[in-house]
Amino acid sequence: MTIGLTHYLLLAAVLFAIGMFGVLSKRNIIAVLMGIELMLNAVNINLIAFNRYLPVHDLSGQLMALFAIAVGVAEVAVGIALAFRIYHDRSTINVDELNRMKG
Amino acid sequence: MFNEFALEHAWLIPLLPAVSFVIIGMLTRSYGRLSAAIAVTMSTVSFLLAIGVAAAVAAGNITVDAPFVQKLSWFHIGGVEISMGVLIDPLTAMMLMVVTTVSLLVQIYSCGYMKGDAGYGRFFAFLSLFAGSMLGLVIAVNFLQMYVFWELVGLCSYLLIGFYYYKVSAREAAKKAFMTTRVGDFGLLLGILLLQLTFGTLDFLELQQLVPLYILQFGSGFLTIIALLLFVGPIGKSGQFPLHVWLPDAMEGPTPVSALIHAATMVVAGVYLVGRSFFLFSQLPEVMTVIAWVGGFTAIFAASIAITQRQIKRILAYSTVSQLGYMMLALGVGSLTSSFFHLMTHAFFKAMLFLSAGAVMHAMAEEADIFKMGGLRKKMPVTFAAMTVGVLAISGIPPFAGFFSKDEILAAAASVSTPLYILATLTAFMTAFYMARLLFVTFMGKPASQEAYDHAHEVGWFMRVPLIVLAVLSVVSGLWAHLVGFGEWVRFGPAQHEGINWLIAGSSTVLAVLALGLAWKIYVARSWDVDAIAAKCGVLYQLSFHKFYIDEIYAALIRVFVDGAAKVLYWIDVNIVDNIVNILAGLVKAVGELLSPAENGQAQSYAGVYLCGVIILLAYGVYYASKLMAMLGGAF
Amino acid sequence: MSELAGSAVFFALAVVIIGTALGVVLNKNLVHSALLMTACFIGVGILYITLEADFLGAVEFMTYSGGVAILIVMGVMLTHRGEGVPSNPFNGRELFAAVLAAVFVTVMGLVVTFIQIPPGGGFVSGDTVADLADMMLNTYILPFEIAATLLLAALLGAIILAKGDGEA
Repeated sequence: MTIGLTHYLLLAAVLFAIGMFGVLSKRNIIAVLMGIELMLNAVNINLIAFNRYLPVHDLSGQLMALFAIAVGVAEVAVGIALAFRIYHDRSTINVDELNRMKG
Repeated sequence: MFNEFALEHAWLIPLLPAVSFVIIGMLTRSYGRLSAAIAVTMSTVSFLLAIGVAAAVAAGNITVDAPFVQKLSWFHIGGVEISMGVLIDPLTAMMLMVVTTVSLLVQIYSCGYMKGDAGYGRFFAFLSLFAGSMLGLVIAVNFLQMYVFWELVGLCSYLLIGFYYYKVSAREAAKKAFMTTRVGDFGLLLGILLLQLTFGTLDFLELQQLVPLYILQFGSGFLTIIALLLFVGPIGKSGQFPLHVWLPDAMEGPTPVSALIHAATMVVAGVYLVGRSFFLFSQLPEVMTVIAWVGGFTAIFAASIAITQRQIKRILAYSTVSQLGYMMLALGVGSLTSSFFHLMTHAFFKAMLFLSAGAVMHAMAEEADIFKMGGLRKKMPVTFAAMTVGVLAISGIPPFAGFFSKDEILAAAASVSTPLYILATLTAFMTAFYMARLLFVTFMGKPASQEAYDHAHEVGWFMRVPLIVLAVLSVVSGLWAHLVGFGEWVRFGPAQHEGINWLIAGSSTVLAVLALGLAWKIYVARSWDVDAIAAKCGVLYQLSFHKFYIDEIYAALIRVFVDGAAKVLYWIDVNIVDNIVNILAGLVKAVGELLSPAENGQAQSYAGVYLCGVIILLAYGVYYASKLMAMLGGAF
Repeated sequence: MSELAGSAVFFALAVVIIGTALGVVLNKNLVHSALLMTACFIGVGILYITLEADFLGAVEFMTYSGGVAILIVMGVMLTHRGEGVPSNPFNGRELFAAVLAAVFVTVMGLVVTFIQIPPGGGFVSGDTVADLADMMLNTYILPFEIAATLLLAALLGAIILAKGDGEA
């Protein structure tokens, strides 16, 4: 059985779904951030697999993944800082207690 | 030289008063005397130009068949070109003369009459605009231009009737005048629009060519409708039955305004419109019959009301309605000449009668009831003389102006329809009677109130001069016009070479003299008791005194229809519209309450909803793509 | 690498990645989750290398398995409440989330099997570092600079957020 693009895409889809599950179901804001990281990685797998298997002429897919990693890292840094700030102010980092947006 | 200049610059005639309106309105309103001076100056120049135009018409080759026309393009709309311009023919020239003369004299009179009034400047501004609008209407080359000025005239009359806007009655009268004439204007507008649709032009001269051809080709049925609609405008503007109700109420305005409205300006606009579009009306015998009967009925109807009225201006107002009916009657029997002849003489003597009435009221501290006056002839000899001339003129006593014009109308009516002739003759008799009543009660006999009598005085020169000038005109204009062959110039179709019909003229004169004598017997010699006669007439007297309850009938009709409609609409509003709105509001509220738990402030649930949407879109995309694939048969 | 060996490597990696990822979201202990996440990222990094993206694999090891994991562990430490309570509980919506994830996988599976992959293979670089550097400093210089600015801004923002207003 030859491993092709389809396999990578399916793997990425499953990883994305798991990350999504984490984002939607966890109480702890840091666990939510972890879910987001999993989703980001799933996307990166897609980008790199496309670069490997689709008829392109340069490494633009990998480059895009590189930028995505940069953005993801920045997001983690800010996210952790936010979590710390929230914990500092409200003594909790449970997402379901952060409901000031309630209408 | 001057004649040529005046003819070429005839557009200045309406423009100058309009300019004076702008100057007074914008700059000099608070300086009364200066405003009056500007208005009178502009009117004088207009008057001189009108004389020049008349002279040019008399000297040149300008006749009703070969008019002088100046046009410039006003605007294009949807391929239709509308022009504005000047149309001069003997009809126009005569109207210009009459309007400028009367408005100039009225303005001079107003200098004295309005002295001390807070709105002195404003008054002259409105008078100027009024004169300008009417002059613009007279020289119009097409129906649209005429309509614009027609509405302007209506606006000015609103402003002037409501001049004493702090009086409730004046405001009400102004509103009534405006709204009543609007009813007529609506018909006129419909008629004009139909004309444009039918002929593609509104130009008088072009229509004059097109109308006979149209009738030859398609018959006159549709044109009859158009003409009747057009005639609704004059019914409103010229105070014909049943839209006459505004005119007597218009007496709430200052007396010079009454003179201007009732003599020279607004009310004759309707007559002029019918005369100007006579090429249309004269082709349609049914419409002519309608016009004649509307005019004839209005004449006798208004005269019968005037007999019992007590307020001096109201009597004159109903007299005006009656005389306008006369003019319409003349038009209806096809005699343009006699109608406009009467228009001219009536303009002079009616203006004078109003100005005299104004002088009397001025002297009597604004008392309007003639039975509270009396014996004024010694105190006010000039006014008395003028009034006497006016009464003799309107009664048709030779050689005063009214004799000639009235006789022509009677002759024209007699040649067409005997009932109309009898109607007109009866009206003439009644006219002579109530005018004599007015004169005798006011000036003869003993003063009803000694105090007011002692206070009375002759008016100043500003007011006296116009009276004298108009009195002279009332005496000579009829004879003069008769001698120079008025009918040669102002005519439709071939000139009418009718001399005086001595039978008709003689009989009407005899009737007039009889009426004067009767009035003398009742009101001066007091041979019969007035109240006893009134009591004997009973119902008739009450009907006449209450103006046949027309106003009350209208009020009742309005109450029934408008209030009834309002009640129906109110019910619909409360029970249907409100319920629909309430149901909608309840629906929105219910949906909102249903959805409000979704907004719980939990970012994760928002994200969940968002992802649901993404998945649905994705699924739809797959479904759509698969259908596309199937359709393309795997062309990828 | 033979075809069979390639398949074996891929499936082994897939099992590792999915297994550790599931561990991340299902584990009750946040520290364990963080550690499993690091393992997951190592698997992803190896996956990159099997896709001929060796430089990105290295970047993955360094930034995610290294930097991000350390950041997260630090975050866990700084916000930890002490013993006795599960540090990584669910919020009560796990069923909804699971269904949504399952539906997503189904739909994406349909999409993935549905699309037709154009033949012709992809691009394989002999020297990814040189090629990426070349692109980044020529064609994509502007995004590169913007990414640098973004990182700087994120750094400063993180410092200011974590430090707080009143403690200047």
